[in-house]
Amino acid sequence: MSTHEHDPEPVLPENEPKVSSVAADKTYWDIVTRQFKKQRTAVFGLWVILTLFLLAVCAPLLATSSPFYLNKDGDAFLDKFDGNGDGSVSKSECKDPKLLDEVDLAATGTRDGVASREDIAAWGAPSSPWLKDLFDRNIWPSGVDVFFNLLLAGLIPFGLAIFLVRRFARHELKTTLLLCLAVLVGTFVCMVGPDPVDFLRYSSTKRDYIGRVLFIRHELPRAREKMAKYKRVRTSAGKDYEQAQRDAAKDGLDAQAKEDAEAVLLATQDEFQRADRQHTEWKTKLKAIEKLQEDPVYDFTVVMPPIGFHHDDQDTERVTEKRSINGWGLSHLLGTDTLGRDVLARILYGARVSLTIGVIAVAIYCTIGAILGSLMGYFGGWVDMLLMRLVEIMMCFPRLPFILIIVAIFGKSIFLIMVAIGLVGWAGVARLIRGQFFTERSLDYVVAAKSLGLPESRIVFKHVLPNAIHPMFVTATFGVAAAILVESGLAFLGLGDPNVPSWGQMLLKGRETMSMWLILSPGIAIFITVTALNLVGEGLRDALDPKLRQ
Amino acid sequence: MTTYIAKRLLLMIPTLFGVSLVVWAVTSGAPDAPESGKGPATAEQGKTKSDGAGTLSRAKRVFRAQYGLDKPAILNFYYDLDRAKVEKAVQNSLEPGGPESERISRQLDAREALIKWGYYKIPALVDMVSNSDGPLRGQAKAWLLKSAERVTRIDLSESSIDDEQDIENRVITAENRAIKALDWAPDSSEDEIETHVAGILRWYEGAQSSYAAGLSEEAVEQRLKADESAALDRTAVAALVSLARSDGRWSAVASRTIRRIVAAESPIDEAAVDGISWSDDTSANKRQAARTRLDDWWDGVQGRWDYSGWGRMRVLLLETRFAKYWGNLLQFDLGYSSKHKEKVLTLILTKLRYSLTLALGSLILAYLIAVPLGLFSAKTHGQPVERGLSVLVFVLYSLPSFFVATLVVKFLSEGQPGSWEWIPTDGFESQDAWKLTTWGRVKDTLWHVAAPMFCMTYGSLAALSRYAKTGLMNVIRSDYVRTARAKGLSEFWVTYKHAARPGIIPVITLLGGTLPIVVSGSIIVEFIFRIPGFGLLMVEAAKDNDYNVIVGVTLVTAVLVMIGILLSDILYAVADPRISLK
Repeated sequence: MSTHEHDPEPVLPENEPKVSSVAADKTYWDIVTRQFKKQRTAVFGLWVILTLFLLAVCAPLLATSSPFYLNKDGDAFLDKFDGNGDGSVSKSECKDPKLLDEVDLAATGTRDGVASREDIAAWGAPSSPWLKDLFDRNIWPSGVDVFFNLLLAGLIPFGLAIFLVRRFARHELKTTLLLCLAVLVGTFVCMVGPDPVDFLRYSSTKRDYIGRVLFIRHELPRAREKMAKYKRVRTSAGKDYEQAQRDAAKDGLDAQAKEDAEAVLLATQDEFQRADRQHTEWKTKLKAIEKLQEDPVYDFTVVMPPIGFHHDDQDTERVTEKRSINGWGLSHLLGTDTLGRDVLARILYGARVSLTIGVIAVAIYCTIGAILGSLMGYFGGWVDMLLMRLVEIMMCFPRLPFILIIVAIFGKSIFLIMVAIGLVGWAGVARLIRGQFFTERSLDYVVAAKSLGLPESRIVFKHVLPNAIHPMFVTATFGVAAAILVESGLAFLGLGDPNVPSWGQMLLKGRETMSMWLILSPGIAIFITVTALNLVGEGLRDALDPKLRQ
Repeated sequence: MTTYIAKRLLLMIPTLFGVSLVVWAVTSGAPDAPESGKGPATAEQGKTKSDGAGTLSRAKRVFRAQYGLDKPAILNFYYDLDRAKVEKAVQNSLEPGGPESERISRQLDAREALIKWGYYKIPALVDMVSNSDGPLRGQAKAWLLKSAERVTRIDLSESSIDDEQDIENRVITAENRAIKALDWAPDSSEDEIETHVAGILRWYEGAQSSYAAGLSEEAVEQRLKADESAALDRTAVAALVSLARSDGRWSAVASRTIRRIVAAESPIDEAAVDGISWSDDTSANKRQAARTRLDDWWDGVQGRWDYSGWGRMRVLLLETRFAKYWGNLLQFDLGYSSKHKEKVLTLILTKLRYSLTLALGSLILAYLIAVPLGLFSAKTHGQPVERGLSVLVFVLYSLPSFFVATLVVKFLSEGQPGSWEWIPTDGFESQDAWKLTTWGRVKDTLWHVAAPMFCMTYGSLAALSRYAKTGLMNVIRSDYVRTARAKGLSEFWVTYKHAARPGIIPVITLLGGTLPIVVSGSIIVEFIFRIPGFGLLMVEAAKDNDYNVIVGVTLVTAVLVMIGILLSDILYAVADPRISLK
C-alpha cells in the first residue's frame, strides 16, 4: 500500500506519518496495525466481528433441516409394504392410507408409481442430504445465502490450500497452484458428483420426510415433558379435590361455611377434571409418537445439525398468536416467532443479511465518494464547484426517507436497499476525500509526478488517492454499522425485503407480540454487532491519527 | 459575513432545484407495474377488462396521472405518430407474425409501445376502427377505448374533496362512462358494430377541433340579437365561445347556447360542459367559476388530437413528465392522497406541527445536555467518572433507537401487561386535550412527548457530547488557555469563558449533519409511539402504496433539511467570525 516507494522523489514532508522514528523498513500499515493492536477494546471488537462473520458463514452447519447423515432401512420398508412378495411396492399394495406418501416417496421418478427393489434400495441408501442441499436454489432462494454457502464450501478447500502453500512453499509456485486447483475440483466433485439421481429425487420430496423426522425428534421429549407435568398437576389437583370433598362433607358447618366449601369443591373439581383431560390427551399423543418411532419406516439413523431448523421452517405446533408459547424451550433455544420459526436460526441467518447489506452498501458509496471526492479535490475550480453542489443536494436527503421512497416506488428487494443506501450515503465520503486531496495535491511528490508528465488519471488514482484514502476506512467502518441500523430500521417499519430473515423484521414481530424473547434476541444481536463495529472504528481512527502516535 | 450569508442564500437556489431534480429522477424512473404490460389482449375472445386500464392498481394510476408518468421524460414527439406504425403495433399485439420463437416478445413489445403512446395514438386508431374489420377492428377499438379514458386525480369519494376537484371528477367519470358505452361485445351483429363505430366517429369528431371553424362572430351575434339561438349548430360554437368570453351583453346567452349545442352533439362533452353556463343574474363569483370551466373545456377540446404548429410545440415541450412535474411544483400541487382523500400539501402541513415539535425539541434537548456533558468530560478527562461516562455514552451511541423504544413501550407504557404504566400511548396528546386549558394542554403534550423525545435524543446526544469533548480537549491544551491560567484566572473562568466558546464551535457545525439523522430517527419513533407526524404518514403511505404522499413528504423533508442546514451555516458564521475571511 505504501506508494511512496514508487514515487520519484522519496523525500517526504514532515507531517506525513510515514517518516517517524520507527524503523525505516516498516510500512505505513505495519505501524497502523501496531497502533491498532495496542487498543484492547478495538481488538476485542474485531474479534467479535470475525466471530460473527464466521457464524454467518457456518450458519448451515449450525441450523438447517437437512441432516448431515441419513440412513434409512430399505429392507424393513420392503417387508412392511410388499404384500405379495414380488420385490416391488405399489400404492395399491399399501393398506395403510397414512403411509401412502412413503410409497410415493420411494417411487418418485419411476413410471406408474411402482417402487422396485432397486428404487427402495436407492431410497434407503445412506446419504448426506446436507452437502447436496447446500446448493439447492429451492432451499436457498436468496443470493445472499448462495454467496455465503459458496464461502462455506470454499472454507475447507481454502484452508487446505493455505496449508499446502505453507507446506510446499519451497517448491515452485506453479505446483502449489496446481495443488490448490486439484483440491478445489475435488471438493466440487465430492459435493455434486457422486449421485445426481439421488440428489434430484431427494431435493424434490425431502421436505415432507424430514418434516416427519423432525416431528418425532422434537415432539418426543416435549410430549414426555408435558405428560410428566400434567401428571404432577393432576396428582396435586386430585389431592386438593379430595380435601375439598372431605371439607364439604364435614358436619356442623353453618350455612355460609357450607356454601364456601361447596364453591371450593366445585372449583377444585373443575381443576382436577381439566388436569385429567390434559394428562390423558398428552398420554395419547405420547403413545402415538412412540408408536410412530417404532414403525420400521421411521427406524433410521439421522445426524442433524444442532438446531434442526432452517430459518424459514415452520414448526407447525408453534404457529400461534399467543405470547406464552413463544418462549424458550429445549427444542427452540430462543423460542419461536408467531409463525413457528426458530428465532436462533433466524438470528444466525440474519447475521448474513446484515453483514452483506452493511459491507456492500458501504462499498458502493465509498467507491462513488472516493472517485468524486478525488476529482473535486484534485482539479478544484468548476469541477469542484459543480460536484460540491451535488454533494450539497445529496446532504439534504435524510437517509431513511430517501430509501423509503426508493423502496416504495421500485419494490422491496434486499439488493435495491443496498443500492439505495449506497446512492444516498456517498456525500460525506466525497467531502472527506476532497479535503484530504486539498492537503496532498500541493505536496512535492505530486508536483514531481506532474513534472514527469504522468497522465492525470494516473496521478489521481495511483499516487494521490492511496495517500488520501486512510480516513475513509474509519468512515467506512462506522458506515457499516450505520447501514446495518438503516436496514434494520427499514425492516422494523415493515418495509424490508420480506423474503430474507432480518433482525429488524424479527424485532417488529417482537413489537407486535410484545414477547420478551422476540424483542431481546434481535435487539441484542443488532446492539452487539453495531457496538463491535463502532469499537473497531474508534480504534482505527485512533490508530490512524498521527497526533495520538507514540 | 454578510457576503457569506448572501452567497449561501444564492447557492440555495440551485440546491433547491437539484433536490427537486433528484426527486423527479426517482419518480420518473418508477417502473410500470408488471401488470400494466397487459393490453386488452382478449379483445377477440372475451370481454375487454371492464375497468379499462384496470389491472394497474388505483393508487398507481393516480400517481401516474399526477406526475405524467405515461408521457415521455423530457421531449414528446408523439404528436405525429405514424399511422402505419400504430397499425402494425396493433396487428402485432393481436397476432404477431414471424417465427414462433419471436412471437411472444414481439407481442409484448407491441403492447409496450401502444401503452407508451398514450392517447396520442387515438387519431390512428379511429382511422383503423372505421376502415378495417374483423378481429383487428375489435383490437383497435379496445385500445382506443382504453387510451381515451382519463384518470381522476383522486378516487370518487363522498367527503373532503374540494368543489373544484369534485366537478373535475364528475366530468371525468361521466366521460369515461360515455366512452365505455361505445364498446361492443365480440358477439354483436354487424349492424350493432356499425352503430357503435358511428358513435366512436361522432365522439372523435366532437372531441376534435371541429368546433373551431364556422360562423363568424358577427353573424352569430346577429342571430342571438334576433333571438334565433335555436337555429345555431356546431359551426357556431367557436364564435359563441369568444362571445361568452368577451363579457359583453350576450355572454350569458352564448354560454347557455354552447351548453345546449354541445350536449346535443357529443355524449362525451355533455358531461364536460355541465356547469359552464351562467345567466345574467348569476353572482360574480359563480360566474367567474363558470368562466374558468368554460375556458378549461375549450382548451381541452379545441385541438385535442390534431395539432397545429403551436400545438405541436406545446406537446413537444409541455406534455412531458418534466414539464408536468415542474408545473405541479410551481403551483405547489403535490396531488391528492389516494388514502386520505386530501391534498398532499394540506395533509403535510397539518402533520408538520407534530414532527417539528419532536425534531426541534429533541435537537435542542440534545444540545442542552451534550455541551455541558462534553465540558464536564473534558475537565475530568482520565478520571474514573469520565471513563464510566464515556462507556455509557458509547453504549448509548450504539443502541438502536427502535430497540430502546420497543423496550420503553414494553416496560413503561400504559396498557401493556407487566409494565409500570408510566407513559401514555395515545400519540401526541390525549383524546380530550381540547377540553384542557392552554397550560394543561402544554403539560399534556409534554407528558406524551417525553418518551419519544428521549428515544430520539439519546443517540445524537451521545455523538454530540463526544464531539464537544474532543473540541474542548483540543482547546484546553492550547497556549492561550495556559496563558489565561498563568494569569491567575480562576479555573471556572478559564474553562467557561476562554475555552468553552471556541471549543463548542465544531459542535455547531454538526447541527447541519445532525438534522437528517434526527429526521430519520423521527420516522421510527413516530411509528413506534403512533405520533401522527409525517414520519408516520410516510411509513403508512409506503405500506399503502400512496405514492403521491411519499413523493410529497420526501420533497418537503428535503427542503426542510436544506433550510435547516442553511440556518446552521449562518449560525456558524455568526458564532465564528473567522468564517467570513475565507
